Amino acid sequence: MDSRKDKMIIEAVNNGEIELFSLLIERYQDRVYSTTYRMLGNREDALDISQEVFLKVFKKLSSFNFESTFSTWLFKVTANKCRDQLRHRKTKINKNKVSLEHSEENGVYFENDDNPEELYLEKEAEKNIMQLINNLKTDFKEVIVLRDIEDFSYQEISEMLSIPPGTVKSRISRARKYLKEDIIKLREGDKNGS
Amino acid sequence: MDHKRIKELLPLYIDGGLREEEISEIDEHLKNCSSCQAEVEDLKNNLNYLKRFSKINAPDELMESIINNIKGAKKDSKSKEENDSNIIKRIKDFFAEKKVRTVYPAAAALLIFLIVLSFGGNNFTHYFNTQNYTPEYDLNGTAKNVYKNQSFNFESDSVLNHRTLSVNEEIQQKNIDLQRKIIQTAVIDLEIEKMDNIEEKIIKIVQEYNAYIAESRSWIDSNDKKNIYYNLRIPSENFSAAINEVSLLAEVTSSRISSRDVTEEYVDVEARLKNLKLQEQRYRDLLNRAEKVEDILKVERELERIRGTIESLEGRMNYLKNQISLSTLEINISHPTPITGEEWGFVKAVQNAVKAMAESFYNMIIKLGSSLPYLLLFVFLYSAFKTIQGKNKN
Repeated sequence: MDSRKDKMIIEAVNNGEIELFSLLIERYQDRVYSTTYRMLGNREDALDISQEVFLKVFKKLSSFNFESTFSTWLFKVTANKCRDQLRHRKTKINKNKVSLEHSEENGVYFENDDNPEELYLEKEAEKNIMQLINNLKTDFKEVIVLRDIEDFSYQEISEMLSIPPGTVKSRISRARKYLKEDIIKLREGDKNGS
Repeated sequence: MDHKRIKELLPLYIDGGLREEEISEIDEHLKNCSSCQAEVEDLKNNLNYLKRFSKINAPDELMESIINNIKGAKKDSKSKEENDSNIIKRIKDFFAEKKVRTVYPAAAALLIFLIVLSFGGNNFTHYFNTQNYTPEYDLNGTAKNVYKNQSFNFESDSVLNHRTLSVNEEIQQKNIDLQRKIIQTAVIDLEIEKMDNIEEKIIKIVQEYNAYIAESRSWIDSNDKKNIYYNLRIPSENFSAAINEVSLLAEVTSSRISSRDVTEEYVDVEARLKNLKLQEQRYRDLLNRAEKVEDILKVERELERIRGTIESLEGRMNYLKNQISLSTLEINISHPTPITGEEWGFVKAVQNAVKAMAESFYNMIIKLGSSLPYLLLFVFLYSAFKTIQGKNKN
């Protein structure tokens, strides 16, 4: 089991073998990074916040009591950090700064990278999707990113965001309905383009 | 269920977000409803479309920067703690001298009294009531050791019986496990509506249990609420009593206590230190007997190496000793989180109005000030004009 492995690593780290923390980073960095990237919409923030998440987790590791699995806790911290960052941004009124930069600089990789035209279209699609998600309110953005893109279960999301499963479901339902037409349009555009 | 209600549920139908009975009901409905079928198809395609975007790899620099940060932080805290332990040792040595012993409790009591007076004269009586604690005792500084005096006081006080128990338990535990080296850490989250004198109370506890504040922070969050964070280092024998005391301050929303047994490491470091010191002594003897320059250089190089290892082990030892003798207590104090959203509200609106009013007043003063010379000139010219006019009439 993954969570048992996590537990072993954490206990070792807490017993002074700090180097082993890199195993945890290795295991989760992609998912944390992509979650923060989807939530925040740009690479610098994603990098900063991912780093903060791991540092915070490292600091609090000795007081982690395995009430939940490590991954749930980790993504709870991630979700909170993202929320703080978004709120912070709102107060600073640089909302427009949420830039949608070119994905080649964003460390985004696609499977079909041999066909330049398709690659271009993929990038366009990526950009459009990010735009859509970025326009959502934080509450809805969270659940859509976590469920539809990062594929966490309803139960996991409920624990991460500390909201009841019913609320998670109703938010997802509303967000999906809200996004439905836009995504269909994007899909159609994709098809016509290729 | 009717068509409308089913349509509501469809976004959750596509990925197992519903209960069994709801799913079977929708299955039934879908057989006969082509519009719902199309909708399900769309939603499913949308979901698959979104899922394609999940593949992002973290950049390599992420791992690097995290590890560098951790290393940096560790070094900092280590050297800081070493310093701390030196200071503590010096303070302990200082108080080990007999003449200081009688002066110390009286001075501490006086200090506490002054702090309480200067920080919150109004809340003074209220404060002592809530603490079950009398100032007379505090000023009664003839006892040789504040901590002993406290446990005696607990026994005589019926209200605090539970505390007597925990203190006694801990002492017993210590007798049994005299050799065990344990690092204790606790994190307590408190929620309180009024934060007015909470800081004084914490300082009071710090004084009472011979603790010190390793770190404290306070900040206003985005909801305009004050948050306070403390990192206290408390002598381990006072640890559980201090936790009890802190828990009484406000509503405890969460608390975690953990301990780590470092006996093995401690013994290991101790043994290695001893060996290395013996080795050092041997090399020194060799150095005295060596005659060739080459030999002397060799021995000195070895000595240097050993000295380096000894120093780093001593550092580790000091760190462990400090961690063992002083437990860490982290306290997070915050306001109860509001149920309503942060975006708008009547109170908020009024607050904003007052803020805006103050701001516009401020701006007005600046503008008036900046045009003052012209105003004065204008007044001067006007009065001159008037007097000239008056003279002409006359």
